[in-house]
Amino acid sequence: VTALAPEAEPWEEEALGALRAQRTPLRRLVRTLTRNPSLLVGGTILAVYAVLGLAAWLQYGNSVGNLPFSQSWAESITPPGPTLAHPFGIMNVLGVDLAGALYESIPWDLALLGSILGIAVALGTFAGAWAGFARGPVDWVVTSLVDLLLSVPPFFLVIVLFVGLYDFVPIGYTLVLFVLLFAAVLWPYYARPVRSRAESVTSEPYVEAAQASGGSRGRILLRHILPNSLDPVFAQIPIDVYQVFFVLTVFPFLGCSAQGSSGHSFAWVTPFPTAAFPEWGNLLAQGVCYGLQPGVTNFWWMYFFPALVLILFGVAVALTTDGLSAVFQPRVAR
Amino acid sequence: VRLPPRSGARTLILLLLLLLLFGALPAGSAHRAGPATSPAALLALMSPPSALPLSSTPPPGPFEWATFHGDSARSGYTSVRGPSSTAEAWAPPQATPLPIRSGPVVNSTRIFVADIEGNVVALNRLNGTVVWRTTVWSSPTTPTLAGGTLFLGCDNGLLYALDAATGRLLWTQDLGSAILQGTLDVSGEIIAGTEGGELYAVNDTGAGILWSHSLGSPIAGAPAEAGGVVYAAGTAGQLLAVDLNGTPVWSETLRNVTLDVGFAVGGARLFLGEANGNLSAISAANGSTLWNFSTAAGPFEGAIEAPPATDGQSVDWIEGGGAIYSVNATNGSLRWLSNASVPSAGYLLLSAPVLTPSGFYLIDGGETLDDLNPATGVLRWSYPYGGLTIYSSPAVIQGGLILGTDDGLVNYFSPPSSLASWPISGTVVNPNGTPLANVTVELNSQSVLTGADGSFLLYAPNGSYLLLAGGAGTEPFSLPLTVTGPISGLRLVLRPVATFSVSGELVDGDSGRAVPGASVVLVGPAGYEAATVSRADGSFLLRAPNGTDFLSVGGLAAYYGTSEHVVVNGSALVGLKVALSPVGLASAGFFDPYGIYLLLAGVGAGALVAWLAEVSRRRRTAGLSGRILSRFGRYVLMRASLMPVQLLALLALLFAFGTFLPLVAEKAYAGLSSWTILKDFLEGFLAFAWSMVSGDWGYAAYGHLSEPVTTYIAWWLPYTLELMAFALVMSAALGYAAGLRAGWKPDGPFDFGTRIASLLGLLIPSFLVILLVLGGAYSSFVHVVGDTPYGILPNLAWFDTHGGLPPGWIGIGGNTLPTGFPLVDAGIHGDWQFFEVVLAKTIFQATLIAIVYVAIFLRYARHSAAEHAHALSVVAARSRGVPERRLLWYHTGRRALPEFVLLFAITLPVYIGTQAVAEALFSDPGIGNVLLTEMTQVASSGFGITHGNGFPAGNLYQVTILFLFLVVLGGNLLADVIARYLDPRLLSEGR
Repeated sequence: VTALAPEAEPWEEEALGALRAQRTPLRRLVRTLTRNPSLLVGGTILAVYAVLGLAAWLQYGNSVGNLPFSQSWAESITPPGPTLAHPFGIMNVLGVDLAGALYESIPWDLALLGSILGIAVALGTFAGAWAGFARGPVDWVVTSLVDLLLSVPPFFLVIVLFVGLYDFVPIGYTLVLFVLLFAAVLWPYYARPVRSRAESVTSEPYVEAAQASGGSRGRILLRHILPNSLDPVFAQIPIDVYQVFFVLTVFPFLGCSAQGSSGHSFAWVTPFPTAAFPEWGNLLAQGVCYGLQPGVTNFWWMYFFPALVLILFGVAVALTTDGLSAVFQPRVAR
Repeated sequence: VRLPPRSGARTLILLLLLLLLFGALPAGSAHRAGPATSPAALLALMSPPSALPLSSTPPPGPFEWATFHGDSARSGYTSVRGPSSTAEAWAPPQATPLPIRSGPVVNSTRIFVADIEGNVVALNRLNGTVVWRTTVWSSPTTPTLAGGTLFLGCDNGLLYALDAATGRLLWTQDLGSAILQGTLDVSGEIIAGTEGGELYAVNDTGAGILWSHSLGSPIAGAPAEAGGVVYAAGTAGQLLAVDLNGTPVWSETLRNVTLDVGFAVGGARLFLGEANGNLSAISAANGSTLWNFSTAAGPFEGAIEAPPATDGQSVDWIEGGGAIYSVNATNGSLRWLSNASVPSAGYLLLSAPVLTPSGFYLIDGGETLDDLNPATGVLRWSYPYGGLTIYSSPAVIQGGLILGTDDGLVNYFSPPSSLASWPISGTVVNPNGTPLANVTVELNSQSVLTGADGSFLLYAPNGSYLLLAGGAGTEPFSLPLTVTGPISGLRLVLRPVATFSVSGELVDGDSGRAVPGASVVLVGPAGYEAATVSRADGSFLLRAPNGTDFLSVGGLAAYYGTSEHVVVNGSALVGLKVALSPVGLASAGFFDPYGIYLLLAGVGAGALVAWLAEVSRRRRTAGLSGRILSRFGRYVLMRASLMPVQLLALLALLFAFGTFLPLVAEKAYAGLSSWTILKDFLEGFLAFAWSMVSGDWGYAAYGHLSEPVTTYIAWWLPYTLELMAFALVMSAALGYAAGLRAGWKPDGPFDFGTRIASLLGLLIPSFLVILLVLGGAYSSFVHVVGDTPYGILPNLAWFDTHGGLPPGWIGIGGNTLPTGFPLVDAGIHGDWQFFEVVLAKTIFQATLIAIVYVAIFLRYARHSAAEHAHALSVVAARSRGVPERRLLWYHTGRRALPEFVLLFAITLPVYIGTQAVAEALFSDPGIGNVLLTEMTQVASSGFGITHGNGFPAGNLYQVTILFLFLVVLGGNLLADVIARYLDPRLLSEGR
């Protein structure tokens, strides 16, 4: 910018002003947000979730399975629906106020999703970019591994791995195992598209220029290949939010419905240390299981509100990633 | 062993587990546990628990209906099969000119009814002619028939005893105020409740009142009895339980409750309908309320005026509003609710319903006889009385239903064959003359168990039969019998079976050391004969009868189960030696049969390579490129050659996580050196991989089935493929059209709409969508189209067209024969009703799958379509004036199609997961359902190890996942090839 002539024309002044205005980070942020409504809306919702999550965490800490419980609610055959005192109604069997339970779940869900997606995205992006950039044996190993993992439905793969290792993990640490395994199953979903993007980015002139100017391979990978290969990551994240919630919901749902039909005790392997674990998917599954018997009972609030909280979160993530994708790849038509 | 759903088999497994525990103790304590391991005790434990209601009186015969609501427990349940249609409805000449409002009682020869003025009539059960007629001058309640005497409690407070044979009055007893609803005969006591609130016990020989209790308000309904305790309720909510000496057992008062009806007893629970429409379950032991079911209806419309019927598992009733409920007897959860009834506000529904295993009979709306499917509440048939109100409670006997009406008729719903049956009775004894209880006696495809005195009673029409009898520990008995009239006093002498000892020892097949703690079971043609657990020195001793022909060993994680052919034929078998092969070790010499093929394959492969090299050399010599295959051919070869590597990696994963790690967790390797463990792992893996690849998949227990894994797949794969064909076509059509249309104008209204819809479709779990649709649409679907013959509910109307059973071409796995594709097989057998129902269901499911899957597919597809929509070729075509519609569907569609194919391949696993969930929710006989079911049983089955159960180990889930993997891999390969065939540029892009 300083290279511009000092006796600038008025239009140049204007452009310069706009460029200067961009230089304060806050203004840049505001500018980005106002031009990108989906990022604004999605980001705002996510921020609300984060604030609520922080508040819930400060209030409850990591009190696993300590949902506020009432015996009379648990045994109620006709649990009360939404009222002013209990805006999301009561869930019987678990015997909890649903609004409180969903609130207490926020930090757990954020932590679960954050860690699973964080690990998977970091691992997948890095491995994909490296494979696409380096080619050769690294590429072969990564591609074969990715092809292998992608060819088994992630839902089944997670269960196979989880159950094989379940017995070796102390009961309080099953969630940690679950997070690690899920990340291990999901990373190929990032590695594959990132790899093919990185492959084409590697042949871009600016990468050749960087190589010609003596940039080290690591620097080229981190500064040029990675940032320019991120676009597929944003498209994939909302789908994986779905995958994670699908498994978190299906685990307790199958256990619960198996229990309901045959009267067996709860013998299903689950990542949750207790059946009343504060987690949206768990609450949704139990809400469906106890609140919705087709043609018989329909305590709609027991599944509606968990689903609502979950869907709102997913929509926020999708809007945010769509917005981010536009920020990182402004030229790509969305 | 996968836990099968049948309780008998569960009992057996529990028992084996218990035996394992005992077997693990030192020899001394195992001896102390001796009685529990004796064959007789084992056999006694093996028999499934009795499901009969708790009652001290013997269950009624198939043609008996002796008191109000059938039995002294007032359960309204009978195990006979009632009428299955209205086809046999008929009425004999009018029995009385006055309305009949109490229920009829029936024995094998007579029907007894009483009208509202006290005229009592006995009819011949077979043809409806009047045998005798008398009057008691007062409106009676439903009579009680006991020991040849008919007891009637009447409005004038008198209890009458009439001789059932002649109608002669034997005695009367004044109880002070009107006797309500029904009396009861228990061990010589007639129990009656009165309007004055007294519960009386009267000696049934007319010797006066034995005891009485006052409840303080009129007795509600009929008193009930179970297990020697009489239960009665007062209308103001007082509950009383007294024993037969009149000593109170407990008493309890329900607050704010008005009761119009008495208890129905099932299991150890008393069920009580309340005037506010609630149904309570009360503990028979202490009167505490176990659960309460609220029908939440108005004060009059919702009132329960007739007791519920219960088989101990479910409780079914009709309330004043006309709604018919069925709830789980254990926890009060609703099983079904039927509204397919006559609206009935304003009527008192006093007629007590009757539950049988095949039908639930009730008077609906006061004027229609309905028969509902007891499992589902779906109406099977109904018989309208056209404005005539019915108060009489029906009596249900084998094949028939009898009912009194307000115009004095006795209606029969009964096929003639059940009317013309003769009673055949007798006693079963052993050679010493001691009566044998619980012996099965069979005649003309009826079977009964003998009572404690060895007696039995069966019915048969004229004809020649073979009477069969047999029980545990007796030799089978048969007697040719010609029936031309009633036969009584038969004496069947059953000889005990001689047993012979079978002993031996169990050894480790590798080391030869003793194997303690394994279960040893002897099996004969009739089933299990004896079972025990091997002792600390590996030895076992059992006793078994002649004909026993299999010895089954299993129950240990570390050894495969095995079965040996062992024939017991008139002498003891000693010194049997059974070698068990340890789990995880490769079976010795497994290469032997295949080594020669491997060698041949190696030689062949070498020759092929040499030949190709020679071809290539000659091409080069001729100045051509040395490459033999085209670019496309090389690509296909490269992709295909990756498959074995991927396959091997998946097998390693399945073995390590499914078989090896659970073994480690079970401490199967405790104390072994790491070298041994490694060797074991590698050898085990080789054996595992080889048997998986070679299709040697063994047997697996699934539910109550034990079949080769290949059989399961042959049964259920066609079903899955059929559903898949429908769902894929719908998904593809929908995904292609929507994806293209959305990508055509990104951020346009259609794209925005599909984006939101696909996001919602993604985030709402598929099973919630499916359940909501099930809830909203499935019941109406069932009413319109009918149920599926398997899956959620059996359609009884459909079954009835096949004589009450599934047709022969539906196999034990719910699979159809011969092809396994239900629609194809229905066509082959010309069963178009089946075809329609299955087609409708399949389309319904396919639509649901498509809704969920397309949402996922779109997320990827619109990006790809958007790119192609702005390609230069499209812009150029537009400038040439090509119409937009053609640009979209032809120009862009053609270019996007290859990528759509690739996207489909990528999302195939997600598709399979969605279909599996859909199959599981509809209980389909498909592979996806099998996989999910296997996984729900993970924790109880030791995932991946089929514990020795006498079958070679087979791992259904490992095979199923392998199968899915091959499908996905094959699908991917196919998609890659198709995409590159459609768009050869992909080859050069290295994608």
